[in-house]
Amino acid sequence: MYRVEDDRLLVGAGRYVEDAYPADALSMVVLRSPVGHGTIEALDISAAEEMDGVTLILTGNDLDRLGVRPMASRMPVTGVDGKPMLEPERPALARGKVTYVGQPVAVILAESPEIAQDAAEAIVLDIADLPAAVDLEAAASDGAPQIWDDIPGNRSFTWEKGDRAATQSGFAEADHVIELTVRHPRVSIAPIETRGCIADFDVETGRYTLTTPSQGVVALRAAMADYLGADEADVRVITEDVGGSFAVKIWPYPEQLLALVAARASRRPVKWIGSRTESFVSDAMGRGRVDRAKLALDRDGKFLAFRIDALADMGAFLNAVAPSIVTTGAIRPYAHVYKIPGLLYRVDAIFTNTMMTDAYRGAGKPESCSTLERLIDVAAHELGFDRVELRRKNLIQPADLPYDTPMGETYDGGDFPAIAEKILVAADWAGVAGRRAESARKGLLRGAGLGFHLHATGGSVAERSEVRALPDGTVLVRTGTQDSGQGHRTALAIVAAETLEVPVEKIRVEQGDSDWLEKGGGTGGSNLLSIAGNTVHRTALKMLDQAKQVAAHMLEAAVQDVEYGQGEFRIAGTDRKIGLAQVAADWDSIPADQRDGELGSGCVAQLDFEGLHTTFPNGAYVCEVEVDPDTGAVQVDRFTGVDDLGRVINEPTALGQLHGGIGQSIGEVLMEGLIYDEQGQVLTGSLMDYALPRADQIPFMDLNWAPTDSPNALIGAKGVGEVSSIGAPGAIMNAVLDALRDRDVRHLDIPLTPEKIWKALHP
Amino acid sequence: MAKLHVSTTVNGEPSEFLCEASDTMLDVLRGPLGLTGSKEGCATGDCGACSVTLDGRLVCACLMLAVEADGAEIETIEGMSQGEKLHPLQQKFLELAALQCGICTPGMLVAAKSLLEQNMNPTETEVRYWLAGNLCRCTGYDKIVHAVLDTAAEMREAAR
Ligand code: FES
Ligand code: FES
Repeated sequence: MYRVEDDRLLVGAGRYVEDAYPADALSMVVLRSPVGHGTIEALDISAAEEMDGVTLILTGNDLDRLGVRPMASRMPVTGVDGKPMLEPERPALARGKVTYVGQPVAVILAESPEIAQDAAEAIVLDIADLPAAVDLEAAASDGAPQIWDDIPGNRSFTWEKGDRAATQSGFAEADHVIELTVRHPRVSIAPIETRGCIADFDVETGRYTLTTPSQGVVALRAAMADYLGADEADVRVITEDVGGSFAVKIWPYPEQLLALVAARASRRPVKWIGSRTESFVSDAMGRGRVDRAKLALDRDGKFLAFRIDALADMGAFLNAVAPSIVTTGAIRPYAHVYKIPGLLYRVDAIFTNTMMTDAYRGAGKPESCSTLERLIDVAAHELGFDRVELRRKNLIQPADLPYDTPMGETYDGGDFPAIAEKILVAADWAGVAGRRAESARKGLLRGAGLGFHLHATGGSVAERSEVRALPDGTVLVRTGTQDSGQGHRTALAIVAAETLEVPVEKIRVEQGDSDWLEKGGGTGGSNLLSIAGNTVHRTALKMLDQAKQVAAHMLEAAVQDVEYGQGEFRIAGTDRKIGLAQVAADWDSIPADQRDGELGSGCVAQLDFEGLHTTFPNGAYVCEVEVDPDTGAVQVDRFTGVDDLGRVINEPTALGQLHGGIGQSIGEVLMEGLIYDEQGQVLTGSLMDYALPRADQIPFMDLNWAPTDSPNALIGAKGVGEVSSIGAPGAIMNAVLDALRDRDVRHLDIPLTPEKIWKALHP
Repeated sequence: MAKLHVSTTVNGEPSEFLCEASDTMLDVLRGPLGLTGSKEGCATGDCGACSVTLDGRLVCACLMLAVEADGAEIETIEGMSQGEKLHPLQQKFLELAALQCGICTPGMLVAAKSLLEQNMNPTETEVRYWLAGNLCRCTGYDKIVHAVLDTAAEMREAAR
């Protein structure tokens, strides 16, 4: 069905935060650290303060006075030594020292953005450089510059999970051990809408309002209230249309906090819209991991053990949930579709003089999944196994289900051998050799790569949904999740319409105002269907139960004699009936003293999520590329997929999710990569320097379904949002490296840019 | 400094505004003219979210000075549908769900319309190169390119 979101968006009538121009708003501009590591020697705002049109400048010295608290991260991790992670205090504005380029040092409020910008340039900021620890591996090594005095070795924590004994014995018994270091450099998430916000403070009520793109208003409200030292009831967060997020807009950011504080101090609304360059230096970034990986195999190619010893690049502080991304996020579907008895993951979380990392579509899983898929290809190549057969012989079989992984998950469904069959046919794997020869005739090197994937969907389970039948015949559904382009309103409307047996046009889904629902974990971990879909379905049933009481009252019948179907309540076996809309209308007319018991709840119900929230969508991708040996340029020629998403609620939106994740993976593997120099300067601070994939760099994709049941999923649907961004990188990496396989290139780190490939081909 | 007076035509309607010499067309469209359908994704000409046409030529409104509109005709996303009736490209984007977050969509549609005005029968490669100036982070371009090719085919059919 058509997406309900699209009518407005197609005619330019979307409402994104940049589109609101509140009367009387002040513009906020952020003065940011121009250096990666240094001590603030002078910060003189006096000349800037004097400028016409400048109303307020805040620096780190003002934070205590204004009651602004440090922005502590929100998911603590305990290290393998049993000690809590080490976390430096993160002030909203730098105090005493700066630790990354882009760190906010001051905010300037003025009558226009131009005036604020001029004033920012009139601020005297004198910083004495300190040696910087920028590169992850360098920052983790002995003798690296220390970023925080009380955090030795720049290490926040070391964390481990898995079966150490089984892993050790797997390696001890192995006939073969293949080792490989796979680097997953940090990337800019770069939605086309940059971050921004409008902040307001009502003096009468003492209430803050923050309008900002997010992935859930309730969690953001909690964070803002915490950092402001305010009651949650005194903070309202509103999210309208969101121009893409992929995790980057989930987190609380200093700009939002400072805009709220400035609005309070100024008694005027404050608008801040980040520039593209600000996005490159100050958006939480994705990835940033170095995996030293090892796979143990027996003589026949059976996998015995797999371990990754990872370094994770946290940036200069710990961002909102970053500690959980590099730990549990990385391991939930660790060996994904493969049966490997010995699994171990160990990570050192390292501070660097860079902007913080946090989740990005897939959140730790794209790294783990592609590391293993890459390692399998290297193993096959070096040990002389066919790479398809090697994978097949290690797949978890349907008979193994439900399958308990050594990482503590229980897979509830999936048929991985069937996926293998299907992908080989869909991708015409047998035709690869022929196409390779054809490319060779054109002087091009063709490579084909295969990768399996599996996701353990997650995210916050703090969902609350509301379903309300209205007298006009529509049904209002509210949820704590938040759309940023996925088509939530369409998907949830379908779920509610099905449950209520009413036409989908009758359902209106609302998200994005923290005053509507007290609870709501927001969107993350591909959780819409498994968490909100589940809760909306249950809430709709509860609402019907309640409405049935009202209907019985109206029909003067016993509740047990009333049945529901197609939007109507009817006394069984008679033609006496009343529509849901009428029930909603009549309920209003029932005097309050007659509304007892269930009747009292009328046609509105709220429920919290219950049940199992994890589903295991899975599949396999095949990518084919052509490499031009003269230029090193890579063109993705074919991309084929088979996915098991369980029940697909709305095919166009599900496909769109997969397409988008594949596009982003092509970017990540072939061209992206945020580059800092040794001093911590960002060298990729514009779209001229940071390549995002464009329409000529991504082929049409051939995606197919292979659904299996998921007993965990109440409505039958597994998650989708992150599936392809977890699965595609491995297949793409393997395709490019396969093209180079006869040229003695064992592995190259992504991004696989023309320069890197050309150099590998011309040693 | 005194503001500059500009007389122009926006989406077929005469329009006048005052601006600074340094104001971009995008600033004026989104601000004084209240046409916020054109988006700012970069302000450097790299994303295409601000695409409009100037006398029929596809331009980035963020790179165009507002004074350049004087005496010229500007078309934006707001002028694409005829009242309730969507342009065939908009209709096809709707049918194929060729948008997700929608932030790139106005620019994408304006750019695609400009392509079809010059080339009723583009190849897939021509569509991809033409739209290479418009970034989309959500869709992987798959359905966008399909939508443009399908629309072109239908428009050719209708014109026969
Ligand atoms: S805003 Fe004009 S090209 Fe990006
Ligand atoms: S639909 Fe989101 S950027 Fe294109």
